[in-house]
Amino acid sequence: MIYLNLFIQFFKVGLFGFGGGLAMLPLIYQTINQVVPMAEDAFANLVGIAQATPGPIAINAATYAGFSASGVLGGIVATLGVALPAFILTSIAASHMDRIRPYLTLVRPATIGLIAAATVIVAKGALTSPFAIAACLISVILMAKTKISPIYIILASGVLGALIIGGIM
Amino acid sequence: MKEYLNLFVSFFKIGLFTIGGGLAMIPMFQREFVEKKKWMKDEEMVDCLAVAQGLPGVVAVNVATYIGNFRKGMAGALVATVGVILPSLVIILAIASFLNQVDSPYITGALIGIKGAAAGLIGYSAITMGKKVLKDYLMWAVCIVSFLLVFLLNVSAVWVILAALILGIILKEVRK
Repeated sequence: MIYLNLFIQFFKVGLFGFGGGLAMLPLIYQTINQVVPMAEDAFANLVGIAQATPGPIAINAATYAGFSASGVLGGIVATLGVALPAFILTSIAASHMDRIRPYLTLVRPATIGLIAAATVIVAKGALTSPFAIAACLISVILMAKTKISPIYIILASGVLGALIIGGIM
Repeated sequence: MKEYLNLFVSFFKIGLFTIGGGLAMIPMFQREFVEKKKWMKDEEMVDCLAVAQGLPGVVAVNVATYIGNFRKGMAGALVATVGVILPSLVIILAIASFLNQVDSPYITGALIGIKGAAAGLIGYSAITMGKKVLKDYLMWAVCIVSFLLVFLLNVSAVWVILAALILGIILKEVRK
């Protein structure tokens, strides 16, 4: 029963995958190979598509891997499997927040540190051209000075990038 | 009913328009739920992100479940989670069915712009939330050490959150 197998395997990815989508990709590769062998270049495709399309990277990767293993239903089953542990664990935590919250005094500053680290990690991979640096600076200014939704800032950066950089290449 | 629709639409929009995964969604969550809808304070958003990064699993699903739960209990959590996942599911199934590869100079160019903007947006979130949260020297120290552990030593976010939690519990007991 390939669907049940896909569900269980991706449930495990969701349960043991720490650190968000990118960090989960190696685990997803090992997992999909246990269900249906996947060539390395097909996996490279998966990684590219998962990052270049909207949405959570782990969800994108699970949908793609499930689809390539056994079609649309496979994609849906793998996606549900990878999302379910997060849903269950957070539901439990959220209903106990009144008891958890008093102990979060130092978790809050740690979380800010994590977001700062995420910024630097993303910036290292992203700020490789004058255009990207300009997009970064203008985005910060727009966020600070206007009420524009970051969604529009992202969309505009994508459109300008496609026209300016895509046009040159 | 309106509240559920509201939750669904917000998360669907964020799922549809964020490229770069859960971390890139942080500025979206903050502007949508703290600044625009005023559903929660900055501090409460930080608690949500702490839980989301301290638990295993897909960060975006953790946040959707948390905020859905915060507003409307289990049913709200379900609605928000489906909302944030659905765009991915549809887009990826469509791409995998009709295209084998995303490869065009326009897409590469768009991604260069998007990633640059995403870096700025996440940095902005770190600064605005940091201003609200970092109230004393101890908090600044915890923030800086956490940053260095993740950035320089590649320590998993989960260990950082766990360590901060244990330190917080010890501190609370000592101060009693």
